[in-house]
Amino acid sequence: MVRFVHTADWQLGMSRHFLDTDAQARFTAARMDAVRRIGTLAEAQRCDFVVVCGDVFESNHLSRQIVLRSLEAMAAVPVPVFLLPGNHDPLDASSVFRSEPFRTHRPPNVHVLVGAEPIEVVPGVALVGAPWRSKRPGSDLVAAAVAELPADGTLRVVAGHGAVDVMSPDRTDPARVALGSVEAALADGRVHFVALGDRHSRTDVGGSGRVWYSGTPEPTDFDEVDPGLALVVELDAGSCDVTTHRVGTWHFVEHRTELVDGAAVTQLGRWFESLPDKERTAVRLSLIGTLGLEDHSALLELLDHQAQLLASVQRWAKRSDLVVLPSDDDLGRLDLHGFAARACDELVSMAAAGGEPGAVAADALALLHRLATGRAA
Amino acid sequence: MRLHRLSLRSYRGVASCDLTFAEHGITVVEGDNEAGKSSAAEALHLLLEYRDDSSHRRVQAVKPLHHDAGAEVEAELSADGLRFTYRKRWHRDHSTQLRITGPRPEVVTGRAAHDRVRELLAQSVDLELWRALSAPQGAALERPELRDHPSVVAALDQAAGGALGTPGESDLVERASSEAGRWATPLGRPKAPLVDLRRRAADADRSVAEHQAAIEALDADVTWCADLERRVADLAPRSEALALAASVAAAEAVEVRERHAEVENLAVAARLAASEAVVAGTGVAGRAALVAGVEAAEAATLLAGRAVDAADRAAEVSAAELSDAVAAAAAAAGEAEAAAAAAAATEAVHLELRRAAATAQVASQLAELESALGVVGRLRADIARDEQALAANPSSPDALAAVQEAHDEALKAEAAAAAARPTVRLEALRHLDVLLDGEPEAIGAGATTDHVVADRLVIELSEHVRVTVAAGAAAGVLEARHRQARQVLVDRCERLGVDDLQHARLLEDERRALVTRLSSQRAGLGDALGGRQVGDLVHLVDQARQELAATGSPAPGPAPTAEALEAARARWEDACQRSRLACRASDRAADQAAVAEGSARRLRQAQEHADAGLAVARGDLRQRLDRLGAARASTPDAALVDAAAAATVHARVADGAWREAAAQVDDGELQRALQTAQRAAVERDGAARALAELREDLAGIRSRLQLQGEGGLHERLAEARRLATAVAAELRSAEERAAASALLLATLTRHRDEAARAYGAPMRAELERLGALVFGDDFAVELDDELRISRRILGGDPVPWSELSVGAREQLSVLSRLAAAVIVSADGGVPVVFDDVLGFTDPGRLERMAAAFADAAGRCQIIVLTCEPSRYRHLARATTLSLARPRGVPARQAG
Repeated sequence: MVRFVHTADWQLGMSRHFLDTDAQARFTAARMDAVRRIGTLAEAQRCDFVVVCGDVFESNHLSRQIVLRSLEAMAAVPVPVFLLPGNHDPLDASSVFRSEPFRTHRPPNVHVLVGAEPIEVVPGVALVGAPWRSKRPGSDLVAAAVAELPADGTLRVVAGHGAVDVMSPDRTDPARVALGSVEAALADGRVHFVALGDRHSRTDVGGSGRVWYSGTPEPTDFDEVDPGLALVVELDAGSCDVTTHRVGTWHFVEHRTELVDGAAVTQLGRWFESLPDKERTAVRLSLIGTLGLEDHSALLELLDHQAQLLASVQRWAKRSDLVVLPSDDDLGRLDLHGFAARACDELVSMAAAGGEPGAVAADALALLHRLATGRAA
Repeated sequence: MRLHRLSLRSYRGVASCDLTFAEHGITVVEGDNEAGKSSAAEALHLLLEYRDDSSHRRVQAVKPLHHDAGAEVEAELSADGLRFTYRKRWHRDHSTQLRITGPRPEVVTGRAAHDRVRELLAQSVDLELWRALSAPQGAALERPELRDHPSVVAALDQAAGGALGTPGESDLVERASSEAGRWATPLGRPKAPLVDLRRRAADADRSVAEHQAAIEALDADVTWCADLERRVADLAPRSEALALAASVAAAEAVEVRERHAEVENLAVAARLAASEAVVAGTGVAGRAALVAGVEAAEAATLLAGRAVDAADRAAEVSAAELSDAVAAAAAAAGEAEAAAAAAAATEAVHLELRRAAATAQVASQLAELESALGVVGRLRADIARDEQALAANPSSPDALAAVQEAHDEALKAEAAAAAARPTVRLEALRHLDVLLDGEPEAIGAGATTDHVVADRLVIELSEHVRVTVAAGAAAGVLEARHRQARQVLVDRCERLGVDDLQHARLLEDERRALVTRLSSQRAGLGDALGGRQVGDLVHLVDQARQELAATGSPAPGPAPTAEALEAARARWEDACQRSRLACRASDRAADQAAVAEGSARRLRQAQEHADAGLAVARGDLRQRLDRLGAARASTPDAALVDAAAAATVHARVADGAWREAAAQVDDGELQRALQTAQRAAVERDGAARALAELREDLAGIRSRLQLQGEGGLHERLAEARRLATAVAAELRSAEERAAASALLLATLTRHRDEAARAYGAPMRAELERLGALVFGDDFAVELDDELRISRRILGGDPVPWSELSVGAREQLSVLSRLAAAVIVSADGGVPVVFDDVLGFTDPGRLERMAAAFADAAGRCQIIVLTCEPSRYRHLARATTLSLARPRGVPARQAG
């Protein structure tokens, strides 16, 4: 029996363009800390080793500083760490694993799976890697790695990276992992667990219970399902026990809401207040509905305020449809009677017509409201 | 606001003045200049605007003249439903009092009164409009600017349906303009913040693109590197296979080359055997040639001995002929020398005679030159003397003519004077003693004496009688001319150094004689010199003397005759002829001796050649005999013949063996094997070179990738994208704000302008209504944005304001004020005060303007101040007030 930590997609050195400088620094540090927490997990779960199934680094073109800090975090892991090159960090000519800082400063417990030759990680247990050697492999690397393995009683763990064919819509991708060949190898006893990376959401693939995506230990985007986890696998020839453990600290939250009045804005404010770990939370809003000028001003103030607290607050333009039109109350507050009232009426008509001119007219109305009520910009 | 009454006390030059105005309609205040009309108009402004303690220059300017008192103004007004009396005194004992008479009586004084009135008027009266509508003296030609007066605007806006809205709405345009001005110029050009943002956004996008390009280049390098690795992997085994194939082909070529070398060796052996056979044959032929050579040498030696004998005989004959020829030549040479000596002697005689003739010619030339030099010396002395005399003679033809002319003039003047002189004839009837000019003269009885009187003559007959005879004035003039002419003559004679005309003529004759003689002397001198200078002549004399001295004979003898000279020359030429003949005979004898000597020399050489030929023939025979003997000692003639036969047989055998081996090999085989080996080597080398290049490229790109891979390109790209996102958001926000502000400003401005056009319509309508009374029914106007008349239209013909006559501009300005006053009258309005207007208006227009005044007066209060009441005589229902002149001001004093 063997116990190990299955993880993947650390993507150390990742940047998010919607984060400002401070938030980006926190985000980068959190990914390093996640490595240390995985080490803590491995120790607590008495694991024999940690296997990282691809995309250890965000890119092959990282600064020396990122590489050195990453290695420093890996050195803190108390068990051997096996790194599989993935599509973000393939083992090509520019590979980070072949870079001078990596080669010079690689801790003794850190190993790179550079070939498919099985490595005996503990007596009777072999680790078989299917490393990416380029960003666009021309074949199923996992299938190639397991094809020639014998069913000789050795307990084998396969580390692979990429989309499984049953989950990938791209039938033209030659690098897809064929679930059939993997499950055939499992059935033949040639391999006993297939640890996969690339998919950021934890996923149990197929019906064997021995093919898994661990997901990314720190979330990276809004469309990930159940990220921020690492898997502890307890394995022998007859059983496979997989448990999930949370190691992530960041949250990527999408929120869709309809705004029709001031009360809805207030409700949105309460939702913001309920978010935990604000400095490690990025929010993407889909706002729909129609707001008056006064309520829209309140919304803007709310968003400005929350942008100071949260790691990021974005309005998802593609999924938003918020129309700003002066309400009767707005118009009453403006107290316009002469030509300005007529100008206001014209702008309201333009805004109601929608489209690009309508958006400009809505902004013009907001400006008119601000100028007429004497508010600051 | 209505003005009911106005009183002035101690105001400028006005001691006291009270005016009570009609509450409606027109009040005409008439008065002479300085009666206080303008002061009355001004006083109401001071009362409403300046506190009683004001030191403003306008207040100080109204101090009363000639007495120490404070100016005082009191007005009775009604406004906003109140009627009040308001009084102020400035300068001394200043005070303010407001007395409200209705509806609720109230009295306020001091500063509170001032503030109360200001507050009251601010609520109900557009004081600015009141000032604008008032037309002080000289201002009636200016169009009032009505656009900014709230009451006018409010009235017009009300008439136009409230287009202008609240006052704050006008400010909105300004604020929107200010907001739009943050982003764009009035012409729509983006301003620095927007331009800067756009530039930053473009820079950020460019930075992203550059980083992306760098990463794509890196990825391309990675792909290239992988491709290179694959190609190296493909090429390495092929290179090895090609190397193996090349070595096999090279071995095969060596084997073929060895077989071909063996055939070549057989060919060489065959050729060697054939050569040996040839050599053996040659040995037999050589021996036969040696024998034949000995025989030929023996015959040649015999012939050479015969030739030596013949040469010896010919040499003996030639030596005898040479001896004779040499003797003849010596004799001819002696004769030639004798002839030459005779010729030299006759030549010396001839030369001596020629030298004597030349010396005699030089002596003759010297004598002629010395004679000419003497003549020249004399002539030059004569010329010098006469030139001196001529220089001393001052006469000239002109000078003589001048003396002649003066002499003639003097004679003529003297004759004229003499003719004019009176003559006194004294006839003594008896002896008479008289004093003539004091000189006693006695005239005998019966005698007559005539006395010419040049100037005057005093005759004293006795102590009783003195007669003075004086020449007349004409005689005096002629005498003076005579004296003057004489003086001219004397002056000219003195200048010429002569006494009179005769003397001058002699002097001129002397001068002419000198000139003639000098001319003759100079001609003689020219002849004597013969075109030469005196120096030349002297030089020639010296030269002749030196030549003569050089001959060495102090006294040259007589020159030889021509005949003697000719005879000496003939003798010399004859001797020369004989000498030339002797020389030619000598030359011929010498030539013959030389020919004989040459013949003897050639015969001696032939003798030597014959001797040498004999020696050579004998040597050659000896050598041939030696070689033949040596050859026969080495190999007898029979042995040579046997060896030649054996070599011929060996050569035939070797040739057969070579031809048999050559038939076994292919001529192209070796060439093909070599080409195959060469091709294989080329392919091997090409593959090795390509492999080396690939490996070199691979090493280079791996090195580059390693360097670039550690540069943090990914993070730099991410940072560039983050910056680009942030700047793009900022730019989008700014663009949205700019677009919004521009749209808001454009929309507000357009509606405001439309509103302005709308509220300008009532003003134009009122103006045209009043103007029709003056200019006719086809009168119309156009107003500008400030509600001023920009063009007047009559009968459809528009005329710009600036091109209107002064009278028309004055009438239109008055009508503008009336129209504005009518428009604001519904809200209380303000009184309109005209001070001495319509001074440029003709009588016809005055009458029609009166109709316009009367029409407007139905709705507003009009006060007209004038010093010409006749201008307003057509105002039938006007209230007329008269202002008396202040005391001390004359009635017709100019104002």
